[in-house]
Amino acid sequence: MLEIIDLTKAYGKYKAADNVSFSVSDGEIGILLGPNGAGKSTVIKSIAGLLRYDGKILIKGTDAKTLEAKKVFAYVPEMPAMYEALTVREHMEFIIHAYNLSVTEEDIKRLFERFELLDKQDKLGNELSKGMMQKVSICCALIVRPKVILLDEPMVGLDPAAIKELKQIVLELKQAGVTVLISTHMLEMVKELWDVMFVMDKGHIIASYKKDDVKEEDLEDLFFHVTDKKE
Amino acid sequence: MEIILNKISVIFYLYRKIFKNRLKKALKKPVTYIYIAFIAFYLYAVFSSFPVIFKMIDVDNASFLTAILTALVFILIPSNLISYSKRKGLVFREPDIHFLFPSPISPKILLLYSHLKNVGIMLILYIILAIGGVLWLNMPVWKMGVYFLFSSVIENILEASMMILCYGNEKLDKRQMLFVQIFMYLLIGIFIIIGIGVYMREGASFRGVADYLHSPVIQMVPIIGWNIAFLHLLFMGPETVNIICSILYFGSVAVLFVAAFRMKCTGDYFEDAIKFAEDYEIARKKGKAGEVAFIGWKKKYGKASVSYKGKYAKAIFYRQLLEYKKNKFFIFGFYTLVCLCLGIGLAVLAYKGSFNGYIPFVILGVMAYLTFIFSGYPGKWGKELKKPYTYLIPDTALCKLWYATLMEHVRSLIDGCLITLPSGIVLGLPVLQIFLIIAVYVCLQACKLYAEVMVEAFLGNLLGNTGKQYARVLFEGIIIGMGIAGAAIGSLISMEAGLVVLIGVVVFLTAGMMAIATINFEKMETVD
Repeated sequence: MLEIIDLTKAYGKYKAADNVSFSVSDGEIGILLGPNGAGKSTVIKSIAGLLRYDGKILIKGTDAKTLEAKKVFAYVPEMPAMYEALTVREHMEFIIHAYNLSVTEEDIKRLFERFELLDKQDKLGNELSKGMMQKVSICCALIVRPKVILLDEPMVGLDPAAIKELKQIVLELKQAGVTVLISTHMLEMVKELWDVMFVMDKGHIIASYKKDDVKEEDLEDLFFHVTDKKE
Repeated sequence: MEIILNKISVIFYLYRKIFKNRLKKALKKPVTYIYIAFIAFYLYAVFSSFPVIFKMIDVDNASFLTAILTALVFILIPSNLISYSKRKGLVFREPDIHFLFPSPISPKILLLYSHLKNVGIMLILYIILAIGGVLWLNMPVWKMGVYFLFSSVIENILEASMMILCYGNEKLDKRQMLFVQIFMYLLIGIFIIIGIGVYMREGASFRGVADYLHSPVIQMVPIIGWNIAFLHLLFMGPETVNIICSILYFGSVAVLFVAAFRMKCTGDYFEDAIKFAEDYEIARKKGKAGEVAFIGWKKKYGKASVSYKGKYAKAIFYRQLLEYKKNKFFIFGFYTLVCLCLGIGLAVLAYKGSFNGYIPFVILGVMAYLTFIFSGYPGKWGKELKKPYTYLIPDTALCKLWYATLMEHVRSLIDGCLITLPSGIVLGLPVLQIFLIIAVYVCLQACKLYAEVMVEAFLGNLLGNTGKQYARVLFEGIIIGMGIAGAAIGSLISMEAGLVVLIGVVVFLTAGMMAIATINFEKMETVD
């Protein structure tokens, strides 16, 4: 479970996130939506522990800043950044060491296969395209076998096959009881995935919906309904 | 403890793999072997020349070594403390932020990870100092061995502890940390002011400054001075002050180590480290592109407008003009100031009669020096090559090259005037001569510019920045050399004729380079 309680992040007098509270339960897929400058990135980076903030963020009931919480948490940033002199394979090995994981050769192979990286294992970080980097970034997050995973614009740069694979993986994670939070602008890509949706604007959560409550209503209609009304 | 060791091994895994892959890649490049040969020769030259220099100035003794190390310690420790208390001085790169910051590795270990990058450089310095101490200053091997161990182990423990306590601190706010910085600035300031005072009082002698650096007062300054006290104990022999202060030093290192180990650090510094990493990355990219870059310095643009007079490739020139108009100093920069100072300097010297009527040749000599040695302005033409729309403009490659570089010619015209006019007016040189000298400068700069564009087109993929500079100087040198040969023949008639021939030859050959360089503007890909 991921809980965000009264999260406030200010840059000087400007509040990028103002008393933001929401939660995503185990086995649920949460979608964080909002126009540019709404404060999504601030919330995402705060959850990932990259920013100082006021309020509380709990991962499986533990403060997100603790090493215990970090052990069960994975993050796929919007802009992947690779170590130029590490190969794809070495990125994975590094993550396995950093999280002290017991992973078999078969686990790595399976992941690489799913994202068509098997033949790219020896490529260095600076030889990868944006899409390839995104695939490596996703593989590095998945190999952790997280209980909570945060995906920031994960579809950007991916080819259709990888998008399809990622969607499938997200559903598998849900079935395995993992908490998933996806921040995206690509509503079309997540419409069959989401369970709960949070719409942000100007640093606040302006609406939240549960799929069960809105039944057949279109995700896009819901989003524009609240954002247009605000204007 | 086992967990800590495990996490530290992760850091070493990262360093080991990165080093191994970089080395493998470097060894495949022939240029690496040239660099190795150059460094080996350089080190040999340094190691063999230093003893002679030290003998000449009579400083080949322990007192000199201790004085140098004292000054080093007194500058390094406070300046590092200032950096750490500002949460600067440690460089995390973008992949570190992506993979390391969200990982379950203690934020304190991540600080050590970044610190290790500095340690590598410092270790090389300590090795050079240790070997140099034995070879140049005839110090006993065991003393330099102890010094190496002391500086690479004990000093590093101290620095790492201070770094964790300052950079990783989550209790003191920015205002409180400011006091640490002010105190350190004061300490360095007082140290330097007294040093200068002693130097001025004692005259230009090293002995007076050395006496100051050996004084017990310096050794009594907490931590920094205590460090220096141990160096005195090691190299100068035991005295009451240096024994007591050395004990205090080792005690303080132990206390700081324990404090750093016990201090709570949850990663509050990540936000500042990310900001610094972003600024560092911007500065690094600018530096690579040949621009002057300072970490954290952001260019401010004002409001401006421009009316586009012309079409197609000419739009590139007007867009550049608009960008320059938004600059605080328009097209002028540090290099303009250099040209102005040179112009005034030459005028003053000419007025004093230092050049005995050879002023045109002196001005031309200065111009040639500037053309060859100074890299000058980072031109906007290089940036044009990185923008896809440059290639989409429906115009010829030659027009695009011309309008992308036109502003550079305007700049060199202004700089040429700044260098020539002051002394030309003071000495009353003929207008034609002044005009021709300025024209020569514009031609020399154009030659340099198009040599650079040509090198970028043909060798951009093969050479690094330094290699490209050498190649540029080579082509430029060939053309200007031919121009000078022509000028020598022309000057048999008159000086003006010589200058006209020089301009003619350089313009003709530069036009040839320009024609070759247009390939850069044909397509985005550089020539393999």
